[in-house]
Amino acid sequence: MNEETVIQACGLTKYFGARAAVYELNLEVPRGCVFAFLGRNGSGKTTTIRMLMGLLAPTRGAGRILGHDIRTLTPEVRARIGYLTEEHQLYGWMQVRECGAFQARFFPRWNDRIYRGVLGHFGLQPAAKVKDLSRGERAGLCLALTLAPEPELLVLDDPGLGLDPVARRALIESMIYLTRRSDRTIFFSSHHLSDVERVADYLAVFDRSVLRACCPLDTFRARVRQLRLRFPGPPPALPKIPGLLQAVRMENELRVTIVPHGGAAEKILQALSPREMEPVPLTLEDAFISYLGERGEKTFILSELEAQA
Amino acid sequence: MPIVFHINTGSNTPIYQQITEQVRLAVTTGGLAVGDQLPSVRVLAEELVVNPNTVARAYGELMREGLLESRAGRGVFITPKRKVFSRDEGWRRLEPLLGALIGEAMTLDFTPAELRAAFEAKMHQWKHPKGGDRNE
Amino acid sequence: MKTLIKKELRENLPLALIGLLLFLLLLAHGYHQSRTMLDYLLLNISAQPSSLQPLLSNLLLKEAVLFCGLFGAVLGWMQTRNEAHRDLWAYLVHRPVTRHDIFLGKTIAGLVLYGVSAGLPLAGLVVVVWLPGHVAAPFEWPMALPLLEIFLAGLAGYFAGVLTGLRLARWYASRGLGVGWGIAAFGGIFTCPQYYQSLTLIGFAVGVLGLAVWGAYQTDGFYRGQPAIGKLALTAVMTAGCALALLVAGGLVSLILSHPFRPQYASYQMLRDGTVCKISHNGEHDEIKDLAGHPLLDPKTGQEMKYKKAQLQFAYGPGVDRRFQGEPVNPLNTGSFFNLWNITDHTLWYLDRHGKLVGFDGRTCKQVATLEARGADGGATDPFVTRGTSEYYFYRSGDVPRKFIPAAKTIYRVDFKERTLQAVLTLTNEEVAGYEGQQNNYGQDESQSFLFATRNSVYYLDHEGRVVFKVPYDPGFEKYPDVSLSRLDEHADFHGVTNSYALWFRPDYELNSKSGWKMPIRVQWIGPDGEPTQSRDLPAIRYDTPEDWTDKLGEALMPPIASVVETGKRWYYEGGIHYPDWGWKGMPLAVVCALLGGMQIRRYRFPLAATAGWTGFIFFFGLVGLLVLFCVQEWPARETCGNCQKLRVVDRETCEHCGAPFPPAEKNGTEIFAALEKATVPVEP
Repeated sequence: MNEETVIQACGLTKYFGARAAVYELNLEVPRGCVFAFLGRNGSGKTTTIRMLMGLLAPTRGAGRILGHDIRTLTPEVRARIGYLTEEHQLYGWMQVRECGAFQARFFPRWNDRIYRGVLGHFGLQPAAKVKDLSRGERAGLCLALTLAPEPELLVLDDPGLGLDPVARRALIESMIYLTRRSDRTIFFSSHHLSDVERVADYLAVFDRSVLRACCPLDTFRARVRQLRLRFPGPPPALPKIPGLLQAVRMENELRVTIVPHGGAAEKILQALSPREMEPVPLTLEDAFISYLGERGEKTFILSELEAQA
Repeated sequence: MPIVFHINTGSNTPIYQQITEQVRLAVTTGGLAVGDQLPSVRVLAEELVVNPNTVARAYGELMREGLLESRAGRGVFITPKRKVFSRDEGWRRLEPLLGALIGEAMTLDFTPAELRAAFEAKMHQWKHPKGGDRNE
Repeated sequence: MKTLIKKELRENLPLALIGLLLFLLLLAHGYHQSRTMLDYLLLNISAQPSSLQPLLSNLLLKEAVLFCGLFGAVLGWMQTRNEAHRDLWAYLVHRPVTRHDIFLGKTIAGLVLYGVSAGLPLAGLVVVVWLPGHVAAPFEWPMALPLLEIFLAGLAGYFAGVLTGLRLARWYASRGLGVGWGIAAFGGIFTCPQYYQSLTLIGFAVGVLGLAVWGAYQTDGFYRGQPAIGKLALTAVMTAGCALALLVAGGLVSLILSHPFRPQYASYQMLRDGTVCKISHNGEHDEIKDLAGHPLLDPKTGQEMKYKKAQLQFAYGPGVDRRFQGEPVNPLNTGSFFNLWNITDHTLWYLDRHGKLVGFDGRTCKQVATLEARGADGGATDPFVTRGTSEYYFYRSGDVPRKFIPAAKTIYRVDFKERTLQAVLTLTNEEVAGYEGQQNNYGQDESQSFLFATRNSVYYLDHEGRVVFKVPYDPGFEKYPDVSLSRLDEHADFHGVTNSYALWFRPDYELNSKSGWKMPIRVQWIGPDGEPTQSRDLPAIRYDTPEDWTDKLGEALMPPIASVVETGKRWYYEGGIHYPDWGWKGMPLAVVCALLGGMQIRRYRFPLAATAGWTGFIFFFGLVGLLVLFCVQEWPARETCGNCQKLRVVDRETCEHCGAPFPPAEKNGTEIFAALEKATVPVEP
């Protein structure tokens, strides 16, 4: 298949009761990239992924995965998609080798070399039962089962959850190994920004059931800017600024994090007449936290508690 | 491979920039000489456990700078530095660094004389590393 | 799909084995009880003979019902619990197979396991019973039919269990409503008169539940999105379940609220001197009056006669079973296969349905004798009359075994020691329709007597087979199928052998009820010479209970579908269209329910066909229909439309009032959207 877009969502919405978990999502994932799907817990990431995988019926809207409508995925399409969930759930009573045998029979393209390689990397015994494995070992088993059929599209829902650093590193290495083929795409959600920084080409950020950002990783870093304004005395009150993410007030300083659009924000800040205004370089994690944290002015949470005491 | 890369995630600098800076530093300090081969994009990406596109971007920028060149079928090599930047552009790049250096020195209460002396010493060290002569 | 089947088999095998063991124990228990009954009977201890054949014994059948229904449900439910975790279910569903194949894989495995754990023990039981030397009762292969039906009905339990596990509904009670058809399937076994009727009901129940399960697999248990057949099946399942739930609730309510049931009925009894009195039972108090309406007085005390004392004066006698004309009510009644007729010398004699007396040795459990009458020409068998005789039932030990048995036109005396038959009386123009022989109180051979009826006459024979009297069957046999004898004291001798009698002719219950309880009871006295003397028609007695408010409420709640079914039944059995007179009483409630349901559906803008279908359904099913609507349907949320300010459902792209689409996500100025190009190919050497 040579579609340019492997995943497509158009107005995808899901309501649980009266609450919208995912609202009017529009997304396109091009083929061959590593796409990170970020957001806070409960912001709708897992719901979106389950809808895209055809496991949850959307309330309204449409989506396509590998060119097929998500509501009617055929077995042929499913055979080309590898899906890994955060719980790494398998049948507890199965042995490791039985898991492999069970999986292999469903997929015509089963690469046993990959399967045994990943198993060996994690040191899994063929006769061990799944319920006796540690979380990291289970993750390794799930990874082996997902990679061995050589899927075109890999969908991972927070695969690193609860994994020790060694297991997580193995996961990242597998993802990079997969990018050897330019027609393979990885779509994953994660909370480990260091991992995201390593492997992702693009990211999308989900904020309270709405997609707020979808861009290359470096663009995101570039667009979230922090400015430090120094004042001779206590900083003045902050007027309304377009694109404001956060403002932290300290003794003589105002740190403002913004997503600038056309310099309007910088002009307003200059109008406050600070002694100095300079940009502060941000790590990806800081940018992300500012982007999704509380909007508006804030102080450190602990100093608030101190003030109340 | 004559150079060992260290990549930090969670740093202020994007990863591709860390790679370019480390290459430039190596070239300047002599860790990498002209004609040395750098690992291919694929190999370096897998060794550093980063996205190959990141490495590709770093290499691409270095190639634009003229530090790196790709020889078909053979790999990526350090090239002799070409004058890519005009003098004005070079000054534009140097200006902020000078400002930062002087500003920092004044904040730390060094006198201009001390700064000048330190500068001369560093230049001397630059030109005579480990006793060897370097010719540009 | 084979992989799935194998995995399911492997996964659920332990449970199936536990079930197998459990069922073996249960069946062994039922079988053992049947042996115990046999021992009791052989020891002259009073016992129910109906459990002599384990395959038809009540206890064993109940155990089988309990196991097949419950275990089937547990097996089905546990099969779905294996993938209880959301991600494990996702793993299963993400297999590159169709939902249909997943359904087949799981169901085939489940049915195989059910077959093993429920079927093997049953097959084993049947084989044990079939092999001679184990059961001292006749065996025919059709006797295994009830157990086969129970086994098949357990499949309904299996599917109900799967449905409970699969259906995603908020309340567990709603998930378990598959039990409705399960109970219908099992209930049919015990109430339908014909096998084909109960088998059809079981087949329908299993089919409906199976389709509902198939539909549930298509959409992970949701109603919306299922193919039409799945939705219909699920609705049918919920209907039965809701009907059952409402019935139970209604029963509980009426139990709590209505007055305690005080039975009020009257009956006629004859005292040994020939006096007829009428006894009215009013709960605890019994009134005994004579036919003029005066209370009966105790001659000794001059006070009103107490019932217990009066009982000592009652004239007893044999009666021919009033239903000796018709088919047995239910094939599960042992009487449809055989009746225990007599026990002598450790030999149990059965009158089987082919009209033969077969004897089983109670110690070896082997068949030792067959007694059958030969026709007049000595050739073909003249089968004994099998209807109209009650089962052998001990009052106390030492009773004289019965010895007279009729064929169609000949009465035979049985010699149990020699195992021979001797014709005692031959009829010419009549055929025996039913009979009863009486055990007497004193254990003397002389007191044995024998009453039998043909369509024309009633005969009474003494212990030698001589005709004591023969009277015409008047009023007619068709309307008065119930005839019984009272033996009076006049000229009675010490052994209770009398030669004065009275015959009672009682009307058919159904006809009497249809006539409004107007059919009188005929009493015919017979003199010592065997000639009828006087006769009297006693005023009719009502046999039903008067309506109280719970009956009226029940009629008001009856949905219109019940009257449709009743009309259909009457058309089928009697021909012609007769609406039941309570039919219209349920209409008001049905209309109200249809309106409420219709309003709800309209609010959510269902398509026209669905609206019409649901409204019609709710009308016909009344309160049950409304309940089903809320159990089955999923209701999307509603929000205020930004354009027209009315509430709109969230699962439609455009507002149903003003046509406006949903607004896109609100922007707050911090959006970062940039073009994503196709990934660049990294530089390769």
